[in-house]
Amino acid sequence: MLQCNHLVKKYRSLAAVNDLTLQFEPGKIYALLGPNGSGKSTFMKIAAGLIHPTSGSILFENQPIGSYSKAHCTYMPTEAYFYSYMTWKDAGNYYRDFFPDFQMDRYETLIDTFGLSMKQKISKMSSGMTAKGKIALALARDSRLCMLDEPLNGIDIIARDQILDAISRYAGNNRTFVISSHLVDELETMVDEAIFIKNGTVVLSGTVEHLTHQAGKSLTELYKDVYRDCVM
Amino acid sequence: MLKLSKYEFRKNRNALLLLIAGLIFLQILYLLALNTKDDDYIFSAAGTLFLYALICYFSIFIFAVTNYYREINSRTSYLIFMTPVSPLRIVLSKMLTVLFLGIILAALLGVLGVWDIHLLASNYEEYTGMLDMINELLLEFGIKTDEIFSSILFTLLTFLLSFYSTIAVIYLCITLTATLLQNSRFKVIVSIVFFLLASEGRSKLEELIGNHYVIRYGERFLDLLFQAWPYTLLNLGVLLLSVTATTWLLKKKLSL
Repeated sequence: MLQCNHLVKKYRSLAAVNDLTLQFEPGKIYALLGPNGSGKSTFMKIAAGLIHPTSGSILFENQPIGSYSKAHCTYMPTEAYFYSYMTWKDAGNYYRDFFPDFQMDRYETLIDTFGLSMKQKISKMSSGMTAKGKIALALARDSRLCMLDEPLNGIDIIARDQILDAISRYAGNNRTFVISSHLVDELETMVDEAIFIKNGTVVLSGTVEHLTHQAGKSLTELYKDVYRDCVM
Repeated sequence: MLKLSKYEFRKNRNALLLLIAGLIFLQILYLLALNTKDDDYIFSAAGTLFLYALICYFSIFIFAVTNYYREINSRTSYLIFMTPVSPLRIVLSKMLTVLFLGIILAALLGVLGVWDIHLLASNYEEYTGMLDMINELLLEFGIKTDEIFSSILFTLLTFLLSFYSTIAVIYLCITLTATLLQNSRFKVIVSIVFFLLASEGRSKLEELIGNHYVIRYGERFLDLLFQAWPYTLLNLGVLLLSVTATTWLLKKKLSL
Protein backbone atom coordinates (compact mmCIF):
# COMPACT_ATOMS: atom_id res chain seq x y z
CA MET A 1 0.00 0.00 0.00
CA LEU A 2 2.65 2.50 1.07
CA GLN A 3 6.22 1.89 0.10
CA CYS A 4 9.27 4.05 0.67
CA ASN A 5 12.79 3.33 -0.53
CA HIS A 6 15.92 5.02 0.77
CA LEU A 7 13.94 8.06 1.82
CA VAL A 8 16.02 11.02 2.96
CA LYS A 9 14.94 14.43 4.20
CA LYS A 10 17.60 16.94 5.14
CA TYR A 11 17.25 20.34 6.72
CA ARG A 12 20.57 22.06 6.05
CA SER A 13 23.06 19.51 7.47
CA LEU A 14 20.57 17.67 9.69
CA ALA A 15 18.97 14.50 8.30
CA ALA A 16 15.49 14.20 9.83
CA VAL A 17 14.86 11.05 7.80
CA ASN A 18 17.96 9.14 6.86
CA ASP A 19 17.74 6.31 4.31
CA LEU A 20 14.35 5.01 5.42
CA THR A 21 13.01 1.93 3.66
CA LEU A 22 9.57 0.72 4.75
CA GLN A 23 6.55 -1.11 3.43
CA PHE A 24 3.04 -0.93 4.82
CA GLU A 25 0.52 -3.64 4.03
CA PRO A 26 -3.25 -3.14 3.81
CA GLY A 27 -5.43 -3.97 6.82
CA LYS A 28 -2.72 -3.73 9.51
CA ILE A 29 -2.15 -1.41 12.45
CA TYR A 30 1.43 -0.20 12.74
CA ALA A 31 3.07 1.47 15.71
CA LEU A 32 5.74 3.96 14.70
CA LEU A 33 7.95 4.30 17.74
CA GLY A 34 10.81 6.58 18.66
CA PRO A 35 11.76 9.49 20.88
CA ASN A 36 11.28 13.15 20.01
CA GLY A 37 13.21 14.09 16.88
CA SER A 38 13.63 10.53 15.62
CA GLY A 39 11.91 11.30 12.31
CA LYS A 40 8.41 9.86 12.84
CA SER A 41 6.50 13.08 12.13
CA THR A 42 8.75 13.98 9.19
CA PHE A 43 8.09 10.57 7.64
CA MET A 44 4.35 10.92 8.12
CA LYS A 45 4.36 14.42 6.61
CA ILE A 46 6.27 13.13 3.59
CA ALA A 47 3.66 10.38 3.17
CA ALA A 48 0.90 12.99 3.56
CA GLY A 49 2.45 15.20 0.85
CA LEU A 50 3.25 18.08 3.19
CA ILE A 51 7.01 17.65 2.86
CA HIS A 52 8.97 16.90 -0.26
CA PRO A 53 11.83 14.45 0.40
CA THR A 54 15.44 15.35 -0.40
CA SER A 55 15.96 11.99 -2.10
CA GLY A 56 14.51 8.52 -2.32
CA SER A 57 11.06 7.45 -3.36
CA ILE A 58 7.71 7.02 -1.70
CA LEU A 59 4.73 5.48 -3.43
CA PHE A 60 1.13 5.01 -2.41
CA GLU A 61 -0.44 2.09 -4.32
CA ASN A 62 2.39 2.43 -6.84
CA GLN A 63 1.61 6.11 -7.44
CA PRO A 64 3.79 9.05 -6.34
CA ILE A 65 2.45 11.14 -3.48
CA GLY A 66 -0.01 13.67 -4.87
CA SER A 67 -3.72 14.24 -5.36
CA TYR A 68 -4.50 10.51 -5.60
CA SER A 69 -2.73 9.59 -2.37
CA LYS A 70 -4.19 12.59 -0.53
CA ALA A 71 -7.69 11.49 -1.52
CA HIS A 72 -7.10 8.09 0.09
CA CYS A 73 -4.83 8.96 3.02
CA THR A 74 -5.65 10.70 6.26
CA TYR A 75 -3.00 12.45 8.27
CA MET A 76 -3.56 13.77 11.76
CA PRO A 77 -0.69 16.13 12.71
CA THR A 78 0.39 16.80 16.28
CA GLU A 79 -0.07 20.54 15.77
CA ALA A 80 -3.33 22.49 15.63
CA TYR A 81 -3.91 23.46 12.03
CA PHE A 82 -7.32 25.12 11.88
CA TYR A 83 -8.28 28.61 10.78
CA SER A 84 -8.92 30.92 13.71
CA TYR A 85 -12.62 31.33 12.90
CA MET A 86 -13.36 27.60 12.78
CA THR A 87 -15.71 25.69 15.03
CA TRP A 88 -15.80 21.89 14.99
CA LYS A 89 -18.77 22.18 12.65
CA ASP A 90 -16.73 24.37 10.28
CA ALA A 91 -13.87 21.86 10.38
CA GLY A 92 -16.32 19.04 9.59
CA ASN A 93 -17.79 21.01 6.69
CA TYR A 94 -14.29 21.65 5.35
CA TYR A 95 -13.43 17.97 5.44
CA ARG A 96 -16.79 17.09 3.84
CA ASP A 97 -16.12 19.58 1.03
CA PHE A 98 -12.71 18.15 0.12
CA PHE A 99 -12.75 14.49 1.12
CA PRO A 100 -15.52 12.37 -0.47
CA ASP A 101 -14.89 9.59 2.08
CA PHE A 102 -15.67 11.85 5.05
CA GLN A 103 -18.68 10.67 7.08
CA MET A 104 -20.38 13.61 8.76
CA ASP A 105 -22.70 11.50 10.92
CA ARG A 106 -19.75 9.48 12.25
CA TYR A 107 -17.88 12.71 12.92
CA GLU A 108 -20.79 14.15 14.90
CA THR A 109 -21.03 10.93 16.93
CA LEU A 110 -17.30 11.00 17.71
CA ILE A 111 -17.40 14.68 18.67
CA ASP A 112 -20.24 13.88 21.05
CA THR A 113 -18.43 10.80 22.43
CA PHE A 114 -15.33 12.86 23.16
CA GLY A 115 -17.37 15.40 25.12
CA LEU A 116 -17.05 18.20 22.57
CA SER A 117 -19.69 20.35 20.90
CA MET A 118 -19.96 21.19 17.19
CA LYS A 119 -20.49 24.85 18.04
CA GLN A 120 -17.28 25.19 20.04
CA LYS A 121 -14.60 27.46 18.59
CA ILE A 122 -11.45 25.39 18.12
CA SER A 123 -9.05 28.24 18.90
CA LYS A 124 -10.55 28.48 22.40
CA MET A 125 -10.07 24.76 23.16
CA SER A 126 -7.39 23.28 25.39
CA SER A 127 -4.71 21.17 23.71
CA GLY A 128 -6.37 17.97 24.93
CA MET A 129 -9.79 18.96 23.55
CA THR A 130 -8.23 19.97 20.22
CA ALA A 131 -6.47 16.62 20.07
CA LYS A 132 -9.78 14.80 20.53
CA GLY A 133 -11.42 16.85 17.78
CA LYS A 134 -8.53 16.15 15.39
CA ILE A 135 -8.89 12.43 16.03
CA ALA A 136 -12.63 12.65 15.36
CA LEU A 137 -11.89 14.30 11.99
CA ALA A 138 -9.34 11.64 11.09
CA LEU A 139 -11.47 8.67 12.13
CA ALA A 140 -14.55 10.05 10.36
CA ARG A 141 -12.83 9.43 7.02
CA ASP A 142 -12.96 6.02 5.34
CA SER A 143 -9.47 6.43 3.92
CA ARG A 144 -7.35 3.41 3.03
CA LEU A 145 -4.40 4.74 5.03
CA CYS A 146 -4.80 6.62 8.30
CA MET A 147 -1.72 8.15 9.92
CA LEU A 148 -2.13 9.45 13.46
CA ASP A 149 0.80 11.41 14.85
CA GLU A 150 0.87 11.18 18.65
CA PRO A 151 -2.92 10.80 18.96
CA LEU A 152 -2.81 10.13 22.70
CA ASN A 153 -0.71 13.16 23.68
CA GLY A 154 -2.46 15.43 26.14
CA ILE A 155 -5.47 13.11 26.34
CA ASP A 156 -6.90 12.07 29.72
CA ILE A 157 -6.89 8.36 30.62
CA ILE A 158 -10.61 7.81 30.04
CA ALA A 159 -10.54 9.53 26.67
CA ARG A 160 -7.50 7.44 25.66
CA ASP A 161 -9.59 4.30 26.08
CA GLN A 162 -12.35 5.88 23.97
CA ILE A 163 -9.86 6.77 21.25
CA LEU A 164 -8.21 3.37 21.21
CA ASP A 165 -11.65 1.78 21.15
CA ALA A 166 -12.64 4.00 18.20
CA ILE A 167 -9.45 3.09 16.32
CA SER A 168 -10.14 -0.63 16.87
CA ARG A 169 -13.74 -0.12 15.73
CA TYR A 170 -12.81 1.67 12.49
CA ALA A 171 -9.76 -0.44 11.66
CA GLY A 172 -10.37 -3.47 9.45
CA ASN A 173 -11.95 -3.49 5.97
CA ASN A 174 -8.40 -3.39 4.67
CA ARG A 175 -7.75 -0.01 6.33
CA THR A 176 -4.19 0.57 7.40
CA PHE A 177 -3.38 2.56 10.50
CA VAL A 178 0.03 4.03 11.30
CA ILE A 179 0.15 5.39 14.82
CA SER A 180 3.11 7.15 16.37
CA SER A 181 3.23 7.41 20.12
CA HIS A 182 5.42 7.40 23.18
CA LEU A 183 2.69 5.57 25.12
CA VAL A 184 3.90 2.17 23.99
CA ASP A 185 2.07 0.17 26.67
CA GLU A 186 -1.28 1.60 25.52
CA LEU A 187 -0.65 0.56 21.93
CA GLU A 188 0.90 -2.80 22.55
CA THR A 189 -2.35 -4.75 22.72
CA MET A 190 -3.84 -3.31 19.55
CA VAL A 191 -1.03 -3.01 17.00
CA ASP A 192 0.04 -5.71 14.59
CA GLU A 193 3.53 -4.45 13.80
CA ALA A 194 6.02 -2.12 15.43
CA ILE A 195 8.65 0.02 13.72
CA PHE A 196 11.40 1.52 15.85
CA ILE A 197 12.95 4.66 14.36
CA LYS A 198 16.15 6.21 15.64
CA ASN A 199 17.96 9.21 14.09
CA GLY A 200 15.74 8.95 11.02
CA THR A 201 16.50 5.27 10.36
CA VAL A 202 14.65 2.04 11.12
CA VAL A 203 16.59 0.17 13.81
CA LEU A 204 14.05 -2.58 14.48
CA SER A 205 10.78 -3.69 12.94
CA GLY A 206 8.47 -6.68 12.80
CA THR A 207 5.24 -8.08 14.14
CA VAL A 208 4.68 -7.37 17.83
CA GLU A 209 4.35 -11.10 18.49
CA HIS A 210 7.69 -11.90 16.85
CA LEU A 211 9.59 -8.97 18.44
CA THR A 212 8.37 -9.64 21.98
CA HIS A 213 8.82 -13.41 21.65
CA GLN A 214 12.36 -13.04 20.28
CA ALA A 215 13.40 -10.49 22.93
CA GLY A 216 11.45 -12.19 25.71
CA LYS A 217 10.21 -8.76 26.76
CA SER A 218 7.17 -6.56 26.36
CA LEU A 219 7.14 -3.88 23.70
CA THR A 220 7.59 -1.22 26.39
CA GLU A 221 10.73 -2.90 27.75
CA LEU A 222 12.03 -3.33 24.20
CA TYR A 223 11.43 0.39 23.60
CA LYS A 224 13.50 1.25 26.67
CA ASP A 225 16.32 -1.03 25.50
CA VAL A 226 16.40 0.44 22.00
CA TYR A 227 16.37 4.07 23.11
CA ARG A 228 18.27 3.81 26.37
CA ASP A 229 21.20 5.83 25.02
CA CYS A 230 19.07 8.58 23.48
CA VAL A 231 19.58 12.04 25.03
CA MET A 232 16.21 13.52 26.15
CA MET B 1 -11.22 25.50 -7.01
CA LEU B 2 -14.44 27.40 -6.23
CA LYS B 3 -14.65 25.61 -2.88
CA LEU B 4 -11.14 26.81 -2.05
CA SER B 5 -12.11 30.32 -3.13
CA LYS B 6 -15.09 30.09 -0.77
CA TYR B 7 -12.74 29.40 2.15
CA GLU B 8 -10.35 32.12 0.98
CA PHE B 9 -13.22 34.57 1.11
CA ARG B 10 -14.37 33.26 4.52
CA LYS B 11 -10.89 33.80 5.97
CA ASN B 12 -11.00 37.45 4.95
CA ARG B 13 -14.69 38.01 5.69
CA ASN B 14 -14.27 39.91 8.97
CA ALA B 15 -11.59 42.22 7.59
CA LEU B 16 -13.73 42.94 4.51
CA LEU B 17 -16.80 43.64 6.63
CA LEU B 18 -14.75 46.06 8.73
CA LEU B 19 -13.55 47.88 5.59
CA ILE B 20 -17.09 48.13 4.23
CA ALA B 21 -18.38 49.33 7.62
CA GLY B 22 -15.80 52.14 7.49
CA LEU B 23 -16.92 52.99 3.96
CA ILE B 24 -20.59 53.14 5.00
CA PHE B 25 -19.70 55.33 7.98
CA LEU B 26 -17.78 57.82 5.83
CA GLN B 27 -20.54 57.78 3.21
CA ILE B 28 -23.09 58.72 5.89
CA LEU B 29 -20.75 61.51 7.07
CA TYR B 30 -20.54 62.77 3.48
CA LEU B 31 -24.33 62.80 3.11
CA LEU B 32 -24.63 64.68 6.41
CA ALA B 33 -21.96 67.14 5.25
CA LEU B 34 -23.93 67.77 2.03
CA ASN B 35 -26.94 68.51 4.18
CA THR B 36 -25.06 71.21 6.11
CA LYS B 37 -24.32 73.07 2.82
CA ASP B 38 -20.95 74.01 4.39
CA ASP B 39 -18.16 73.88 1.75
CA ASP B 40 -15.45 73.00 4.28
CA TYR B 41 -17.38 70.02 5.66
CA ILE B 42 -18.42 68.83 2.21
CA PHE B 43 -14.96 68.85 0.69
CA SER B 44 -13.34 67.38 3.84
CA ALA B 45 -15.88 64.55 3.84
CA ALA B 46 -15.51 64.02 0.07
CA GLY B 47 -11.73 64.00 0.30
CA THR B 48 -11.70 61.58 3.23
CA LEU B 49 -14.20 59.29 1.50
CA PHE B 50 -12.13 59.28 -1.70
CA LEU B 51 -8.90 58.52 0.18
CA TYR B 52 -10.57 55.79 2.20
CA ALA B 53 -12.02 54.23 -0.96
CA LEU B 54 -8.51 54.07 -2.44
CA ILE B 55 -7.09 52.52 0.74
CA CYS B 56 -10.05 50.12 0.85
CA TYR B 57 -9.38 48.97 -2.68
CA PHE B 58 -5.68 48.35 -2.32
CA SER B 59 -6.23 46.70 1.07
CA ILE B 60 -7.74 43.74 -0.82
CA PHE B 61 -4.43 43.08 -2.49
CA ILE B 62 -2.44 43.75 0.68
CA PHE B 63 -4.65 41.26 2.58
CA ALA B 64 -4.15 38.68 -0.17
CA VAL B 65 -0.37 38.96 0.03
CA THR B 66 -0.08 39.08 3.82
CA ASN B 67 -2.58 36.22 4.26
CA TYR B 68 -0.65 34.03 1.83
CA TYR B 69 2.64 34.80 3.60
CA ARG B 70 1.10 34.03 7.01
CA GLU B 71 -0.58 30.87 5.78
CA ILE B 72 2.39 29.29 4.03
CA ASN B 73 4.54 29.91 7.10
CA SER B 74 2.01 28.52 9.61
CA ARG B 75 0.34 25.19 10.34
CA THR B 76 -2.97 26.31 8.81
CA SER B 77 -1.37 25.54 5.45
CA TYR B 78 -1.85 21.85 6.35
CA LEU B 79 -5.58 22.32 5.78
CA ILE B 80 -5.06 23.20 2.11
CA PHE B 81 -2.09 21.01 1.30
CA MET B 82 -3.59 17.86 2.86
CA THR B 83 -6.55 18.09 0.47
CA PRO B 84 -6.40 16.26 -2.89
CA VAL B 85 -6.45 19.61 -4.71
CA SER B 86 -3.55 20.18 -7.09
CA PRO B 87 -1.10 23.04 -6.39
CA LEU B 88 -2.24 24.74 -9.63
CA ARG B 89 -5.84 24.87 -8.40
CA ILE B 90 -4.66 26.11 -4.99
CA VAL B 91 -2.76 29.01 -6.59
CA LEU B 92 -5.54 29.78 -9.07
CA SER B 93 -8.17 29.79 -6.32
CA LYS B 94 -6.19 32.44 -4.44
CA MET B 95 -5.69 34.55 -7.59
CA LEU B 96 -9.36 34.13 -8.51
CA THR B 97 -10.50 35.28 -5.06
CA VAL B 98 -8.33 38.39 -5.30
CA LEU B 99 -9.58 39.10 -8.83
CA PHE B 100 -13.21 38.53 -7.88
CA LEU B 101 -12.99 40.75 -4.80
CA GLY B 102 -11.12 43.38 -6.81
CA ILE B 103 -13.82 43.47 -9.49
CA ILE B 104 -16.72 43.52 -7.00
CA LEU B 105 -15.15 46.26 -4.94
CA ALA B 106 -14.22 48.29 -8.04
CA ALA B 107 -17.83 48.07 -9.24
CA LEU B 108 -19.18 49.04 -5.81
CA LEU B 109 -16.77 51.97 -5.43
CA GLY B 110 -17.47 53.01 -9.02
CA VAL B 111 -21.23 53.13 -8.48
CA LEU B 112 -20.77 54.93 -5.16
CA GLY B 113 -18.34 57.36 -6.78
CA VAL B 114 -20.73 58.24 -9.62
CA TRP B 115 -23.60 58.74 -7.16
CA ASP B 116 -21.46 60.95 -4.87
CA ILE B 117 -20.23 63.07 -7.78
CA HIS B 118 -23.82 63.46 -8.94
CA LEU B 119 -24.86 64.54 -5.43
CA LEU B 120 -21.96 67.01 -5.28
CA ALA B 121 -22.83 68.44 -8.70
CA SER B 122 -26.51 68.81 -7.80
CA ASN B 123 -25.39 70.62 -4.62
CA TYR B 124 -23.51 73.15 -6.73
CA GLU B 125 -25.99 73.86 -9.55
CA GLU B 126 -24.30 77.19 -10.22
CA TYR B 127 -21.26 75.28 -11.50
CA THR B 128 -23.26 73.03 -13.83
CA GLY B 129 -23.27 75.84 -16.41
CA MET B 130 -19.50 76.14 -16.08
CA LEU B 131 -19.09 72.37 -16.68
CA ASP B 132 -21.15 72.71 -19.89
CA MET B 133 -18.91 75.61 -20.93
CA ILE B 134 -15.75 73.52 -20.36
CA ASN B 135 -17.34 70.72 -22.38
CA GLU B 136 -17.99 73.10 -25.32
CA LEU B 137 -14.43 74.48 -25.11
CA LEU B 138 -12.92 70.98 -25.24
CA LEU B 139 -15.11 70.15 -28.27
CA GLU B 140 -13.64 73.22 -30.04
CA PHE B 141 -10.21 71.57 -29.64
CA GLY B 142 -11.56 68.24 -30.88
CA ILE B 143 -11.63 66.60 -27.46
CA LYS B 144 -14.80 64.75 -26.49
CA THR B 145 -15.53 64.20 -22.80
CA ASP B 146 -16.46 60.55 -23.45
CA GLU B 147 -12.96 60.08 -24.92
CA ILE B 148 -11.47 61.50 -21.73
CA PHE B 149 -13.59 59.02 -19.79
CA SER B 150 -12.39 56.18 -22.09
CA SER B 151 -8.78 57.18 -21.56
CA ILE B 152 -9.22 57.27 -17.78
CA LEU B 153 -10.95 53.88 -17.78
CA PHE B 154 -8.28 52.43 -20.10
CA THR B 155 -5.45 53.75 -17.90
CA LEU B 156 -7.19 52.31 -14.84
CA LEU B 157 -7.64 48.87 -16.43
CA THR B 158 -4.06 48.62 -17.71
CA PHE B 159 -2.79 49.78 -14.32
CA LEU B 160 -4.90 47.13 -12.57
CA LEU B 161 -3.65 44.38 -14.90
CA SER B 162 -0.07 45.46 -14.24
CA PHE B 163 -0.77 45.57 -10.50
CA TYR B 164 -2.43 42.14 -10.56
CA SER B 165 0.56 40.61 -12.32
CA THR B 166 2.79 42.24 -9.67
CA ILE B 167 0.72 40.44 -7.02
CA ALA B 168 1.45 37.18 -8.85
CA VAL B 169 5.19 37.95 -8.72
CA ILE B 170 4.92 38.68 -4.98
CA TYR B 171 3.14 35.32 -4.51
CA LEU B 172 6.07 33.68 -6.30
CA CYS B 173 8.59 35.44 -4.05
CA ILE B 174 6.70 34.36 -0.92
CA THR B 175 6.57 30.78 -2.22
CA LEU B 176 10.32 30.90 -2.92
CA THR B 177 11.07 31.77 0.71
CA ALA B 178 8.91 28.87 1.91
CA THR B 179 10.24 26.26 -0.52
CA LEU B 180 13.52 26.50 -2.42
CA LEU B 181 15.03 29.04 -0.04
CA GLN B 182 13.48 27.57 3.10
CA ASN B 183 16.79 26.57 4.65
CA SER B 184 18.64 29.64 3.47
CA ARG B 185 19.70 32.22 6.05
CA PHE B 186 19.15 35.03 3.56
CA LYS B 187 15.82 33.87 2.15
CA VAL B 188 14.01 37.18 2.71
CA ILE B 189 16.82 39.25 1.17
CA VAL B 190 17.15 36.90 -1.80
CA SER B 191 13.39 37.01 -2.30
CA ILE B 192 13.31 40.82 -2.22
CA VAL B 193 16.23 41.01 -4.66
CA PHE B 194 14.39 38.58 -6.97
CA PHE B 195 11.27 40.77 -6.83
CA LEU B 196 13.27 43.93 -7.58
CA LEU B 197 15.04 42.23 -10.50
CA ALA B 198 11.74 40.93 -11.86
CA SER B 199 10.17 44.40 -11.58
CA GLU B 200 13.18 46.03 -13.22
CA GLY B 201 13.11 43.45 -16.01
CA ARG B 202 9.45 44.17 -16.67
CA SER B 203 10.06 47.95 -16.68
CA LYS B 204 12.82 47.51 -19.25
CA LEU B 205 10.52 45.42 -21.44
CA GLU B 206 7.76 48.03 -21.14
CA GLU B 207 10.27 50.70 -22.17
CA LEU B 208 11.28 48.60 -25.17
CA ILE B 209 7.64 48.18 -26.14
CA GLY B 210 7.05 51.91 -25.66
CA ASN B 211 9.79 52.65 -28.21
CA HIS B 212 7.85 50.77 -30.88
CA TYR B 213 4.23 51.13 -29.80
CA VAL B 214 2.84 54.54 -28.88
CA ILE B 215 -0.64 54.69 -27.39
CA ARG B 216 -2.70 57.36 -29.12
CA TYR B 217 -5.05 58.70 -26.46
CA GLY B 218 -8.28 60.33 -27.47
CA GLU B 219 -9.51 57.21 -29.22
CA ARG B 220 -12.49 55.03 -28.36
CA PHE B 221 -12.11 52.60 -25.48
CA LEU B 222 -11.94 49.44 -27.63
CA ASP B 223 -9.38 51.08 -29.94
CA LEU B 224 -7.23 51.94 -26.93
CA LEU B 225 -7.45 48.34 -25.69
CA PHE B 226 -6.42 47.07 -29.12
CA GLN B 227 -3.45 49.46 -29.24
CA ALA B 228 -2.24 48.25 -25.84
CA TRP B 229 -1.99 44.57 -26.85
CA PRO B 230 1.84 44.36 -26.36
CA TYR B 231 1.52 45.66 -22.79
CA THR B 232 -1.42 43.37 -22.10
CA LEU B 233 0.56 40.43 -23.48
CA LEU B 234 3.55 41.34 -21.32
CA ASN B 235 1.50 41.52 -18.14
CA LEU B 236 -0.39 38.32 -18.95
CA GLY B 237 2.97 36.67 -19.64
CA VAL B 238 4.32 37.80 -16.27
CA LEU B 239 1.13 36.54 -14.61
CA LEU B 240 1.28 33.16 -16.35
CA LEU B 241 4.99 32.69 -15.65
CA SER B 242 4.58 33.58 -11.97
CA VAL B 243 1.60 31.25 -11.50
CA THR B 244 3.45 28.40 -13.29
CA ALA B 245 6.61 28.88 -11.22
CA THR B 246 4.62 29.13 -7.97
CA THR B 247 2.74 25.94 -8.81
CA TRP B 248 5.96 24.09 -9.65
CA LEU B 249 7.58 25.15 -6.39
CA LEU B 250 4.55 24.05 -4.35
CA LYS B 251 4.44 20.72 -6.18
CA LYS B 252 8.15 19.87 -6.09
CA LYS B 253 9.74 21.77 -3.24
CA LEU B 254 7.14 22.18 -0.54
CA SER B 255 8.20 21.40 3.04
CA LEU B 256 5.69 22.56 5.63
